[in-house]
Amino acid sequence: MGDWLKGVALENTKGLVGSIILAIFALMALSHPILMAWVWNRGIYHPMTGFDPDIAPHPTFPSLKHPLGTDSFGRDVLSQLLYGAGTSLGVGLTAGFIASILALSAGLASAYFGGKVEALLMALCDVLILMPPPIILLIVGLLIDMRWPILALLYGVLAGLGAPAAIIKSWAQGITVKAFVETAKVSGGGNFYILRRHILPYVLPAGFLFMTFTASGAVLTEAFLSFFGRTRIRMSWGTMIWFTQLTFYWSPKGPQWHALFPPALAIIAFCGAFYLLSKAVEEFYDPTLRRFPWGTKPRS
Amino acid sequence: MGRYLFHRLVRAFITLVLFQTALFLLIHALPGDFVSTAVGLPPIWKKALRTYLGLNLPLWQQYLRWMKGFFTGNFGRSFLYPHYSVTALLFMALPKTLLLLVPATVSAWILGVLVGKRMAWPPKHSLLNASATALAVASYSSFLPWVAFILVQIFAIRLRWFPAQSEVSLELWADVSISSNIVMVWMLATFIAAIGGWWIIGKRAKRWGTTVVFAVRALFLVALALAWLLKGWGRLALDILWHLALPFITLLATNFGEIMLLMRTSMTLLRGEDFVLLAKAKGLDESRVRDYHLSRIAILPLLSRFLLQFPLLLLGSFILEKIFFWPGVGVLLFFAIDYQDVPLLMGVLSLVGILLLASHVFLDLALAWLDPRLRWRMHGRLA
Repeated sequence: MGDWLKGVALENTKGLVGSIILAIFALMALSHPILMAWVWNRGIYHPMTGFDPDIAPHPTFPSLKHPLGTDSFGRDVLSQLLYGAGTSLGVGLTAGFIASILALSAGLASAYFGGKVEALLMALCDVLILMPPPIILLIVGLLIDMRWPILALLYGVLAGLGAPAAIIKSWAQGITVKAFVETAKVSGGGNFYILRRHILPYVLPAGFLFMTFTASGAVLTEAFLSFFGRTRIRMSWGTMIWFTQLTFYWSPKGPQWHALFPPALAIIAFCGAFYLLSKAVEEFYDPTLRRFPWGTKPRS
Repeated sequence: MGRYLFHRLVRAFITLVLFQTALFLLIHALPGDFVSTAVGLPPIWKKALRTYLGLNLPLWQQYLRWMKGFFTGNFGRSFLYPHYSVTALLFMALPKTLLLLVPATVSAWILGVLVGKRMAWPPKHSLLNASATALAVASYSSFLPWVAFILVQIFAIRLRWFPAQSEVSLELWADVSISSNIVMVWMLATFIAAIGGWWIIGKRAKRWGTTVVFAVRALFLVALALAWLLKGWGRLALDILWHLALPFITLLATNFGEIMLLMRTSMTLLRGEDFVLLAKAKGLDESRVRDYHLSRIAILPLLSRFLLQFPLLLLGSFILEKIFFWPGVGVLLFFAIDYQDVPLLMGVLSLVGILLLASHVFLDLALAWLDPRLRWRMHGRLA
């Protein structure tokens, strides 16, 4: 694991940039409760209910007291941004983790056992491919209180058992017929041992790849659902964009570009970081993708 | 190939049945129903309405009714627009969605492939390359409603170049007797014909030479434009295009990045292969190696990526329809969810499912046709 972390996050430029961006977001998410507890006045800086009575009328442009300005209800934009970072990190990481675990186990099980297990899992996968998770979550949003852990869980299940499971299955099928798997079987290796020891290492990169895709997909979906008011998440980047575009001209001082850009740029940076990490994972497992001087690519 | 096609279609049918069952269960798990959204109706009316709409039947009877309706192509009547059947509503909305979706998807693919292959070949690390990558990552990860909002602010509100609402200008269409859907279907057909004709003429380049190909392409496009003018619909088509501009640009801008990045990776992966070396050794120039030897192979892995991308494209066009008041399937979907219009909701979701399923079957067949190894594997001859 140490090797892996070093190769993906430190030695690879793309991975390094991606992990630095994610670390910044993690710091932002962690700093919010600390700032709220010791530095910021709760009445003024609370992301949902704060109001600054000293400066009015309220959407104000960036100032020393409010580095990113305030929105139409007088809430501090920076505080909202930091609070939203926590939501997005939680949604992205949870959904990505669940999706990759499910996709790996479903894909490996159906490739290795075949027969009824494969038929059942692949039927499920075929059905889930036909149901785009964001549209299904729009409907499920009517059914339950959609807080972020539930949203992440549902997105992870719907996205992970769909196309990623099928793709991992087809990768794993190529491995299960290799001679070393037969050898391991003849030598008395148990099913679980063979799966873990001989097949998993070959499909793990695909698992990480789908983890990063699902993470950015989940964050975008959370933003979509919050934008259309289908979640019970009280403050996230999607909610911020929705609220700002709704009250864009509620200000005598001109349109509120200052409140519109931070959450959107944060979403871009967040998904971009996951993209860079996915490239780093790809390059770690497939050295032919790394940059070589022209014409000197090693032959496999 | 015939046997493979048969197996694939049987599997598609089973999937469709399971998919319909899952949708039915999901929608009937929602709290309340269409009648309960009518606040203030006397209880006895509500009861009568439920009986009329068949909402008081046991669940299995409703299920059987639904499945029967689905396989006979009859989705029932919309609760919200009782004068229309769901099928009619879908057919009214589908051309508008397709007109938004198909040209934007095709353009995103063409743009992404063209730019992606130029970035990968000849290989160099320039500032232009790096900034194109950054732009592509931003395009791939930006939030669609935000992009749409900014474009509307700039082009519709400040500059007043393009409208941001509806699909036609009412004053222009007031005395026109044909429906906008017919014009849209013809526009779509023209778009596909233009792309196809462009490509087919390009195939003759080796025999005809570049100048002739350029002239024939220009003639072909002029002929298409002339046909529209002679038909007398030129004004109407321009009006629709004018309204289409902003949603089209938004969808294109948020989707071309991913294809460009994939194409570049795919090209990078292949550029050390022997056949590329051979092509270079033959003394072909760079652009010929790129266009005729490398990019045709590099595009194959992108096709299977479409499996993951198409739902997102569809969702993107639905969201844009809601933002730009473009009355397509997406608007129907949001209406149906808000009012729990069960037949309409099931109809829209089935349509989405069928579109996705059709694209997957098509893709499987295309890959099997392009790659004979897959065909053997499906028959079990090659494990």
